[in-house]
Amino acid sequence: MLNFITNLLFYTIRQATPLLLCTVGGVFVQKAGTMNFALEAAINTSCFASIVFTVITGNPVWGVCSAILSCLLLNALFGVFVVNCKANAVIIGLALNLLMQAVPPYILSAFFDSRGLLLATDYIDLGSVPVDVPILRSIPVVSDIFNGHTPLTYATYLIIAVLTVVFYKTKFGIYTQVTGENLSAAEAVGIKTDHIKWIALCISAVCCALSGLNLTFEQVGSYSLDMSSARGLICLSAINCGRKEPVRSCVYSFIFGFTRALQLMISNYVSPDITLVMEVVPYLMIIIVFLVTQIPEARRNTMRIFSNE
Amino acid sequence: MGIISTKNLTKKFGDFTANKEINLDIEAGEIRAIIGENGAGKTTLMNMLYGVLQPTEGQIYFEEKPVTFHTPKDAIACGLGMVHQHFRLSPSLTVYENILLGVEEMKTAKVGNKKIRLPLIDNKAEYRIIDDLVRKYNFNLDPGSKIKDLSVGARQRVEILKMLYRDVKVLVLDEPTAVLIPQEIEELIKEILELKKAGKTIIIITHKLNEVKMCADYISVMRRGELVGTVPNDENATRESLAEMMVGRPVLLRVQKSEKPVDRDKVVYEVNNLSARDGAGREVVKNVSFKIHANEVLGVAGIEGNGQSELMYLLTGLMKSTGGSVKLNGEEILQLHPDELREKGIGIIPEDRYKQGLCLSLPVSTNLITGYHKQKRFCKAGMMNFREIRKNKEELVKKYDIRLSGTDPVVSALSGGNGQKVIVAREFSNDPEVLLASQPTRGIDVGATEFIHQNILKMRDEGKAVFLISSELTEIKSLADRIIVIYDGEIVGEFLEEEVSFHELGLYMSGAKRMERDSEETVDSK
Repeated sequence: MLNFITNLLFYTIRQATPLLLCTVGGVFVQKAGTMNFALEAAINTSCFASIVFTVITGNPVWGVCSAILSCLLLNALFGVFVVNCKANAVIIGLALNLLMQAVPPYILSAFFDSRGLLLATDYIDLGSVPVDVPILRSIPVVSDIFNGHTPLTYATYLIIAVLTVVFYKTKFGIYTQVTGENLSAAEAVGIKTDHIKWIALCISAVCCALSGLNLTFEQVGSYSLDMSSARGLICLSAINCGRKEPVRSCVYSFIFGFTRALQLMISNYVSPDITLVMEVVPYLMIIIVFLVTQIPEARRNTMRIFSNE
Repeated sequence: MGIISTKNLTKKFGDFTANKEINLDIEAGEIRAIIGENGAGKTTLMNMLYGVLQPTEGQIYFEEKPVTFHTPKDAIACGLGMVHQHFRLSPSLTVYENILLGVEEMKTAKVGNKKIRLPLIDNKAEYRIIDDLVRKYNFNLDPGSKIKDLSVGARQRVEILKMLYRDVKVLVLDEPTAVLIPQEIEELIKEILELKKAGKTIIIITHKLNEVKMCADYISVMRRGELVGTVPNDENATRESLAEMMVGRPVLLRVQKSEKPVDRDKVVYEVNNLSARDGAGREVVKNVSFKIHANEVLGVAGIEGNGQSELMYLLTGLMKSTGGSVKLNGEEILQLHPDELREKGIGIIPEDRYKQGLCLSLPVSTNLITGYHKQKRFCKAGMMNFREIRKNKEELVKKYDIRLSGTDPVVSALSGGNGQKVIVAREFSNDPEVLLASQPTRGIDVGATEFIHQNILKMRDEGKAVFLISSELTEIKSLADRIIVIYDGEIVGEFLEEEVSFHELGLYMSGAKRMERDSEETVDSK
């Protein structure tokens, strides 16, 4: 039983990593007043680009660079339409999400003669990824949970800490908050709100790239279709449940990571038929979290025609 | 030439001339009021001075040098600051963060003899700076509180400090008293005089004549985009003469009430212990009770945001109540929907005419029957009778003097005053028993205001009951027979109109004083 719990917590940390990365970056865009609907596309782009370029060049370093560059490019596309042309963020985001579902299978079948899987395990040694932390390893139980994670997993918590300080304690963070809360207040003192949104998009792009890299380089070593499995949308829910505050949003991401770990753990103990059913658990959890956080809000609404603010 | 002046300043939007050849000259250290009706071009003029809009023709001079402001930031850098009617503050940040927005104090670290600027904001230093500033100008404000917890008056002080910190020489205040209670207005005027002593030049844009009379040195009057004159603020500049300059003809500043007495024996509309909660679960309307008799106008005075909007939503069926009753001639009508209320004989002039009163994309004829569209004459077996609807429009447009640019334009093409007249025509023509009106003359010109006031009083004299919510105390004083004061969702005072002064009402509106109506009743029952 203890074994089950330590394993569950270990996998929670592992599963939460890509979600946390994507969330903490996405918070900035969301807080700056732009619906960050292209998170899903960004994770997918990062996963795909990292593996494809690793296979082409034979060098994982190029994979990492291309993942970050392609995410920046994707968010730049989003930014041109949404920030500069003031287009509807949901529609542009949806278009990019659908685009990134269509591009990978096309390229895979056209150039790699594959139906939906591209292996890069020849170039990536998954065995050498886990880090053995000197002091942690000697403490029982704690070692089972916290030791042996990937470098990005440990880096994630550092990134969260740094970005939280950026959010609350730096000019950029304060400007981001003002831009989202009262655009004219920001513009009245000469803050270039479009620049703020662009910087936020860049932060989000890098974080999503890291999130995708964690999945491909540190977890599976390959690309398969739909491998982001709606993580971007899950993060969007986490950001909104967390009221666009970095730490609070990360807590929700962690909860979603936990359910995903729970699903994986339970799958080990039940028959394969039920495993398929188990896959809905993380999504079910989102619905539950939404019900728990949103129903009281809906019920509190005492207006008949429009919601009170 | 003074500190700021304009020469032949003109602004055109397409064919429409918003400002025509404005020649303004303001001396340093003066308090200048710029008055005019809504739509007279005051705001356009200020937006040009502040760099929000670029003039089509003409030149602005600041300290005798020609200047061109491309953005508000240019204007501030030059020494001209503006406090807008709608505050530019970020609610979840603190007072000092808002004031120092864009000019933050950064932390420094000492490495050897060198000081290095860190990318982190020094919150303690920021607090100290603003605390000193607040003390210097003797403002009543805590630099550490968040904007969302502040009253409207305090938010305005934050806006003024924001400009003072940037060391502006000229401060423009756009409709500064629109949302303040009489006491806050007094405080603001004291602050303005204090700033004048400190050598600042102040420009006040307003359509309220009382405050102008209290503090301005010179008064400039605008009408239809033109500067019609500048007069010194002395005994010759009476409220009547200024109003006449604004409108271009003599106006009645106070409508004449008739001598017809209130019918004390006939209660038409009765509200008992009405309560409601808002989205956050707070009680926004608390045990509100009142009666309106036939031939009576009941005015509700209060600072905006004290439950007036919610009370109106409750009475017009737009919000769910948590208890209480509303009776029309003894019949319970609580929580009926607006169409059912209208059927029962309740006319509704909603608070926001564009959100709840009119459908902007529909023509005037359709808007003139909305809410009454189920009536047999307009709708048979689910089909609209457009001939009848057009006939109705012809009648009402003539009777209520609604000025249309075509035969049947969409409502969005009408001015605010004419839009409001559409609502008034619709509600009055259906001959209601009770009229519920909220802010009936907000943002409309003096002519239309006069017309609507006369119609409300005419209704009263016909034996109807009128419920009037307004943030303009003068409107309430001039129309109502009885006044109740609402504070924090509660009725804190009730007066006969002739027995109460503006000052007294202000005390109740601010919560400084209250009547204990309930305790009196318990004393009686014992």
